[in-house]
Amino acid sequence: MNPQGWSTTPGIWIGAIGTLALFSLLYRENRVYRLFEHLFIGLAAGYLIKATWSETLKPQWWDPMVGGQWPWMFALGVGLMFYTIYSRKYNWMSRVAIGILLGFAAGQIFQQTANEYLPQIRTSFKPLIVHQADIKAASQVTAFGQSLSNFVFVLVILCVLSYFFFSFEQKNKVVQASSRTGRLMMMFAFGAMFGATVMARMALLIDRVWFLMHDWLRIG
Amino acid sequence: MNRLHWTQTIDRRILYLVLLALVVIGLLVPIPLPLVVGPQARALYNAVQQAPEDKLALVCTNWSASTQGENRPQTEVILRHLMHRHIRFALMAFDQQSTNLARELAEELAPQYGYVYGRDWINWGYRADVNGTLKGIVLSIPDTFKTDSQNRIPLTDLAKLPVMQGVHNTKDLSIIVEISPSGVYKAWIQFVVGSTPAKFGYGPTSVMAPELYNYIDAGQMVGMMFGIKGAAEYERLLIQDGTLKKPGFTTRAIAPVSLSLVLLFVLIGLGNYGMYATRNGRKQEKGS
Amino acid sequence: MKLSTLLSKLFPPLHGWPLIGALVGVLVLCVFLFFALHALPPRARKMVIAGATFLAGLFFALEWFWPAGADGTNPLTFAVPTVGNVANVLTAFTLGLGVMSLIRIHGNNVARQKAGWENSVVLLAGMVVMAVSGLFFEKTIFFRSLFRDVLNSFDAAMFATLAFYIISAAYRAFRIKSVEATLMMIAALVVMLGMIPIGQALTSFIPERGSFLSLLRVDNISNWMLTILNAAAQRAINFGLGVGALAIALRVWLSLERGAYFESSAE
Repeated sequence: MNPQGWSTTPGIWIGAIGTLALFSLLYRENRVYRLFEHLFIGLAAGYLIKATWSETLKPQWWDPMVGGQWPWMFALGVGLMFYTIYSRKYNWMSRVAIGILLGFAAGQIFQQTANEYLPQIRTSFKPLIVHQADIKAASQVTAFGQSLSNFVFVLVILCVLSYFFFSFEQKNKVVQASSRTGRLMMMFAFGAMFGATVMARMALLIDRVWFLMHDWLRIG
Repeated sequence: MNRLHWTQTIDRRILYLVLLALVVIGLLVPIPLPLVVGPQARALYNAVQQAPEDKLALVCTNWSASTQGENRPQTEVILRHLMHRHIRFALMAFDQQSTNLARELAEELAPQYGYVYGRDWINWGYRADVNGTLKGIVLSIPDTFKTDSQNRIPLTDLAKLPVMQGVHNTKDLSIIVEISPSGVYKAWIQFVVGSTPAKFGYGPTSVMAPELYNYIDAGQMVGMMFGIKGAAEYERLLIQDGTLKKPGFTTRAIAPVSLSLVLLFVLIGLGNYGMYATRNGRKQEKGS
Repeated sequence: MKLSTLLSKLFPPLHGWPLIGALVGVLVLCVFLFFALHALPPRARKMVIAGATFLAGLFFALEWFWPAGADGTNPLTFAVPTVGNVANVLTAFTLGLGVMSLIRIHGNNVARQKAGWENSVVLLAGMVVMAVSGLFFEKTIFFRSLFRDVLNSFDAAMFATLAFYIISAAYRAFRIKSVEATLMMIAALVVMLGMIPIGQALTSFIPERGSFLSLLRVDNISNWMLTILNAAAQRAINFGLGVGALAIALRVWLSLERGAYFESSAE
């Protein structure tokens, strides 16, 4: 998996030893694990510094600023306000800078909500009676099957939505039944997420074991 | 103590060893089992297969080494497919490690397809702010990224970057594929998808995959690869169409995934069996 | 006159000494504004924070709601890439906060020789080596190997341990004691069996398509559960999240939010 262009044998050996050291936590807490954990954090922080400067600050701020666009110096003023958080006397100013970033994010919520949810609301209105002419030629689904699936889809949406009605007490028996059904239907989603999560974690382990076997020990 | 009590108290280190052993066995011993290609991976494959060849494809990677087990194979199959079809592509990233990881992968694959940096592919680099960047590229890609990441050449310098010919904003893209372990796909849907005829495909880690069926149903996403399994399905399709000659690591990794899931269900079954057997044993003891 | 033209007249690019003068002038202005802001009474400070938040959000909100002309743009559209770049730069400045925290804590550990201070030395040394090699020796094999073989290996290994923990946690904690847990387990079992070749092999003797029996294939059942039951439930959950996110965003934008961060006095 590791291309020879970026990998070296000493690097692979250090990576493998570090991997085993980090895995040693599985047996029990130990000093070797702590050492490599700290090394990892240090390397990650160092890379953060490098990437922040060379990928963002230098090409987007420093180069345009020294190239003639002098208003970019104001960004330094606002950016340094973040660091007043460390000062007891001036730390309120960090909230101005944080507020600007929060404001940027909050102002976009209208576009986000419209573009994300309107198409989903529209496509939630599925036809409950599907005709064979509406089925694509290459599809294996029958009209009855599609109608049933659509009905179940709409029913599940309504039931799950009714579960989240917290603004009033659910006294009506129909709403209670719907809410209970929605709760049960959500379990299907959570079960799928649980199984998918396990699969994801296993893939990460498999990648590391393959690195140890194939790249380090040359097995397989 | 009930004789089945051990079913609930197996030492965790034994479990770890069993899991490790299954993973090693799964990687070493080829298990010839069929892999059914799912409709979502097939839909993504079809979208890339039908993407216009004369436009630039955009591959946005958002993964770091922590999820490379799933996301790297996904990125690889997409890049192979694009290069096999001779479609120019651009890389961009919202994760700092990803810009180098994706670049390294592209540099590894490019010589196999005769791809040259600047002519056939380009790396726009990393951006910290997702929303601002995506809103920017909808209007103007050169104004948002200014230069490429590797050589700092202005994106408007078509003499040195002929790959950027005819690329002004997202309307000029062939297809957009995001490979990511996080929820950045929402930003693409919120800011970009409606502004371009290019289809949007996604390569999530398995953790994210179940929540994406909603977006595929709404037509906001054309298809996706369900974690490493989806990458294996995509690889299967590439073998069928001749892009790849033989299965790679991705297909090989499915066997240990399968074995570990079987172990999971066996352990859950064992634990629950032990719980109910112990409970019944206690009831019988109380009754007698 | 277009807004973009007006702004380019107000802030023309400079070079040489005028540029240096402008940069120094802006820096002096920033320092002056810093102390002027600090001189404000607490009540005015809250208004400054609220005002900055509101104005920042107003740009994007206004740009979205302002009707577009025939060319699909409005008077604010030209500034979107620039404002996006500003947000990028400001976000990049925040990344240094984490690094500063690390340096403070571990530097303190080393200075006072607290327990485990040797690990702090390793941390700080690693940070310096990676930063220096990345900034000045990026194209060398040393940095590339340090990034690919060492940093990436360690990063992947930390997350790979989660696989062991999830197996152990599922074994100890997943007990089927209720209807909900039973349904969740059934869903997980069916969906995962439909995903993996071992599970798909259980019903591989049934034709994949073309027959009514195809519905009984575990991969088809799994796909149906994911695309109908799971997708519908996820969509409904998503709607709830969306309404909540809209409400929170409005409260933050209009500075109506209350809580530990927002309530603490701007003194």
